[in-house]
Formats: sequence, C-alpha cells, structure tokens
Amino acid sequence: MPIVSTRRTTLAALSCLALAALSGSPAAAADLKTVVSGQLTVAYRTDDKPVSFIENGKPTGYIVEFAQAIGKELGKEVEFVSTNFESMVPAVKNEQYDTAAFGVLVTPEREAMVDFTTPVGYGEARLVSRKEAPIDKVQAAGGKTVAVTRGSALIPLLNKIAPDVTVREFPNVAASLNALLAGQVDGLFTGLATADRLVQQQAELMASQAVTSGIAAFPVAKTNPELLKALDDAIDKLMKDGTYTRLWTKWNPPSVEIPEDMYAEYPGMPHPEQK
Amino acid sequence: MPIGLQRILDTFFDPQIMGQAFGTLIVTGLPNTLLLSILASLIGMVVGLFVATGLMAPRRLIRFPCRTYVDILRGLPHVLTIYLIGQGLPLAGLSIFGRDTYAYAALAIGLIEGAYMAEIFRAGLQSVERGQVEAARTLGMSGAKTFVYIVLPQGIRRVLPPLTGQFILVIKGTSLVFLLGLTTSQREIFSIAQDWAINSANLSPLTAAGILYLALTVPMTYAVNAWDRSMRAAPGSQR
Repeated sequence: MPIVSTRRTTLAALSCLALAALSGSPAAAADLKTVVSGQLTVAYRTDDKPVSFIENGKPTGYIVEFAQAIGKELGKEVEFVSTNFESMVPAVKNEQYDTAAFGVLVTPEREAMVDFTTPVGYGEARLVSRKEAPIDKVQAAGGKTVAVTRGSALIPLLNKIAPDVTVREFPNVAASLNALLAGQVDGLFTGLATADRLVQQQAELMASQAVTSGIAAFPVAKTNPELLKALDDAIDKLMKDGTYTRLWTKWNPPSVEIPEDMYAEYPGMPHPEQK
Repeated sequence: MPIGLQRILDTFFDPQIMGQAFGTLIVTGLPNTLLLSILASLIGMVVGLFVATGLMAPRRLIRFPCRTYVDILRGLPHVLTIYLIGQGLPLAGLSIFGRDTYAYAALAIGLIEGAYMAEIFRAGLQSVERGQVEAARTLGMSGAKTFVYIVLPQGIRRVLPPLTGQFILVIKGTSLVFLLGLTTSQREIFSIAQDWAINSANLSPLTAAGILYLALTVPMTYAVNAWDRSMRAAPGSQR
C-alpha cells in the first residue's frame, strides 16, 4: 500500500516548499561557498524508501525534501545526484557533493573523515520475521540468521543486542525480503519505516519492538565550516517552524513517531497534529 | 604535493587502511573468491561444452534450444540472472541447496559463463579442419571417438587464450555473489572491500581488493600462455 497518493504527494511537496520559501531568509547565505557555485549539490540514494529514493524519475523521500527545504533556506537551488553508500562519504570529503540526503548514521570512523550537522533523525529499527517462525524481540535473534542491508550501521547494533546472531548482508531490502519469504534467513533487521511497510504489505510477516540505532545527520566536508554552520542554522529553523514535523508525518506511517530525543534536541519543535 | 594528488592518495591509497584490509581480504576473501571461481568455472565449462556441441548439431530441434540459451543468458544483465536463479529457486520452493548461498551463486554464475564459453568452444571446435575428421572416420573411428580424440583436444587448445579471458571474467564476476546475501565469513574479496570502504569512509580497501584480483589474474594469464606455448612446441602439434 503506498503511503500517500502521487498527486497528494506533489501538492504536499509544493505547499512545503512554498511555506519554506515564505519563512526563509535567502539573502543571508547568498555568498556561501559550495561545490558548484550558487547551488547545493546533494548526493541521495535511489533505493531507501521513504527516506531517500526515486519515484517517477524524481528524487524524493523525507530526507530529500528536508534537504530541499534547507536549500530554500540558504537561497540555493538543490541538485540531487544519485550515488551509492560506499562512495558517498569519501565524495563529500573530497568536495564532490556539498552533503548527502542519506540518513547517514554518525560513527567515529565517519566523523574522522567529515563533519556532521546537528541530528536530523535518530535511526530506529525493527526485526521483521515470519509469523510461522516468529522472533518477537530483537534480543531473541541470537543463534538465528538475520538479513541486513550491507554496510548498514544497523549491523554493529544488532551484533551488540544479540551477540550470537549471524548477520547475512544483502544489497537491498528487496533481496532481503525475498530471502526472508523463501526461508533463506530467519529475520530481517531494518529501519522503522521500512519494517512497518513490509509488515503492512506481507500478511505473513510480523515485527519486533523498535530499538534506537544512533544519530542520523548531514555530512559536510571538514574544509567548509561555513557551510556546516549554515546547514545547522537552517536545520534548527526548519525543526522549530514545523517543516520537519510536517515532512515526517507525510512520509511515515502514523505508527512511526518522531523520537523523543529529537524534541529534546530542538526545544520548541511542534508535535504532529493528532488525527 | 599538489592537492589533487594528495586527495587521490588519501582516498584510494591510504597505506594504513589498505594494510588493515589486506588481512581479512586474504584470510577470508581470497579462499571464498577462489572457491566460487573454481566451482563456477567448472559448471561453466561443462555447460559450455555441452551447449557448444548442441550449437553445431545438424538437427534444429537440438540447435534451437541451445541457441536460445546462449542468446538469453548472454543478453540478460548478470545481476538479474543471479537474482532469478539464486533467489527465484528458493522462492519457488525449490531450495535444492538449502541455505547454501555459494551453491546457488556457483550455479547461477556457472550457467551464465556456460553461455559465453559455449560460443568460445564452438569457435574452437569448428576451427578443426574437416579433413581431419574425414581422415579419422576413414581410419574406422566412430563419430563420438573422432569428436573426443581428434576434434575436442585441438579445438580446446586453440581457444585457450579467449578461454583465459573468460576465466578472468569469472573471477571478477564472483563478486556478484553479494546479491544473494553473505554472512561475515562468507564474504569474498570484493564484498569485504566494499564493507570496509563503507565503514572506513574511504575507497582504499577497494584498491587493496584490486591488487588481489591482479595477483590472481595476471599469473594465471602467464601460466596459461606458457602452457599454450609448450603445447604448440610439442612434436606433432599444429604450428
């Protein structure tokens, strides 16, 4: 089941952008140095619905739309370039992209290469399993084989929660799902929104409790502290003026709530309206 | 040092990161890559020879399915074929290899390579002069015996160089096993390098993997060429 219909998506996107434009102060950061002068060049990935993906030939997803809103704040056109996970941080470091709309989890290794903005999310994950062979808690994954997307920062997290687990890395969530349905693995560990979507779509699947995986933020080259500052300011503003809350509700199923840590990080951030 | 060069060195040739990656690449990755390469090559050669004879068959009923096989498996993107075979079989309830990722991957890659090798073998087998077959038959050898003792040895010998090229493609093609999902100890050279690159936010592990691939493919090429030369120099062989 799609989360929102396409037309509604477009309308909502437009209204978000319009609101962002009205509240923005483009002149303030007009002389900001970026990779391609006058625009914000942002890496995104095509396969991480609903965070960062491609639909009808256009980059979209909540972190992508959030990056668009940031571009408006900075008075810059945003150009999205699709890339894969392993080359993204090196490319940002080498100033090929200004940042990445990826939901990148902050790790010490990555922090050694690039700077990170203030949080734009706290990664949360669930363990999905077949109802006929349920794993009802992430802790119960010990001794089982669990599919995780390769390179994901969820792998060390899962190893920490369930030390005896066998992690089997797949290139994408579709391949993980096939393996789970075919009984090639016992479980699938993935981000909250994806987990909920899978359970909604596949009647034979169920999900465990949610666990917090870490801070997600935008990476910025260490050589461009001015851009980092500008992004931090824009993020702070968009958090407090409700843009983030709106995008979150638009892209996530109602069961997926904004983590409490986000409200603590940005005091004054509005809660979604109760429906 | 110019900044551009420094960046290249930092991104692709960080000695510390490469040094760390080499350990796992050699201990875990190399045996897995070799195992899968050998399995897939064996399947590929058997399938290839079989299909090659089918491609030369006088009967359309045999020729047509072999032609179709070669056309489809050479024409489809390898990623799709590996998914179709490696994930398609278990999804269809045909978990013939249980949960053994390598068996599915070897079958999938072997079937793909078989299609390429079939054309290579066909070219070699057809290059054996008609006169030799006629001579063998005149001497009283059966058709099957003529094929096994006369056509096959000469045909294969003549296509050793392109066959070596195909083996190199198999070795590199084994990296596609990652599509079917790998546990930590199952990862081959390229998967380890990619994971390492993601976690270290640096592409040097991929360079380290590249060096290992060269260490496999370059000596193999020279060994096969030397073997080829020695066979050509042998008495009674074609020059």
